[in-house]
Amino acid sequence: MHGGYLLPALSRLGSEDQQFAVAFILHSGSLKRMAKLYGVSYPTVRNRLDDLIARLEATVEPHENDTVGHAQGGDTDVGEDNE
Amino acid sequence: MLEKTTNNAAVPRRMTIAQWLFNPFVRIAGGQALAVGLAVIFASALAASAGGVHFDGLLDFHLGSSVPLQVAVMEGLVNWSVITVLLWLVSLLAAPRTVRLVDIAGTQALARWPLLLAALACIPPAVRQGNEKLVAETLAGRFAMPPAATVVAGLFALACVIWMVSLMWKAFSVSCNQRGGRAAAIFVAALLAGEAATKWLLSLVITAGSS
Repeated sequence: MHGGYLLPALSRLGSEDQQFAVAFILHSGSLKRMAKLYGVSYPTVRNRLDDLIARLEATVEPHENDTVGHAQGGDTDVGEDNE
Repeated sequence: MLEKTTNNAAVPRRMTIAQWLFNPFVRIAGGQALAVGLAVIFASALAASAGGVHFDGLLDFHLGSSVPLQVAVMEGLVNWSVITVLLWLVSLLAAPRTVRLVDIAGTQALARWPLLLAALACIPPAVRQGNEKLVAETLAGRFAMPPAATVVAGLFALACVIWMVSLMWKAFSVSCNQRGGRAAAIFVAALLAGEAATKWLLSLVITAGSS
């Protein structure tokens, strides 16, 4: 099968970033739980997330922005930890 | 499985001694760092009072003759709170994402722990007596070689201040996610502003306290 298409944005990230994203989802987006899981301080894990967000923003193509924009416009804010 | 994989991928579980000495904030921040840091500031004030040391500015360390405990505590708290407020204000402008004040306050408090070692090094009587003799000779207009104990303690204190600045930078870097030349320039500007502000504030407080 041949075709020119883009992989999903998450698939274009490195394996460590993908593992981090999976762990983040599995821990309900809680930075405190992520910090505990990784054995690091809260700001360290938050910085890791900020870096991941920056890489995702750089990776996402303009035509993908609509989908991302809808997701960001929802009720979930991945930068916040409401626990 | 996931936990093992993600942990291995991100940061090593074990930190080296060098990492603990020069960037403990990867592991400790927030309320935990604040509690330890405040304890360190009070312990440093105790040692400073016992050793006759003044922290009369954000980056200052001076041997004096007599330092009341309340003055040493006030100097420690003013120095810490001023740089915390300054870096917090800076982070509001420079940091791209949310920054917690407790992380800045905690890591900056903990970053001051080398001053505890510096103050402890000045407690031995030989250091204080040597310094008092040196000051007396200098005030009398005579040149005097500083005693070896004073020189060693002074060099050690200088190394501790440099170490503290290095820790303060790492604390800022971790708590505000700042890296690179622009962040370093912002940090240096905050240090200079903090030095001026603490000097001014402490002189005001001491003047008010003595009148």
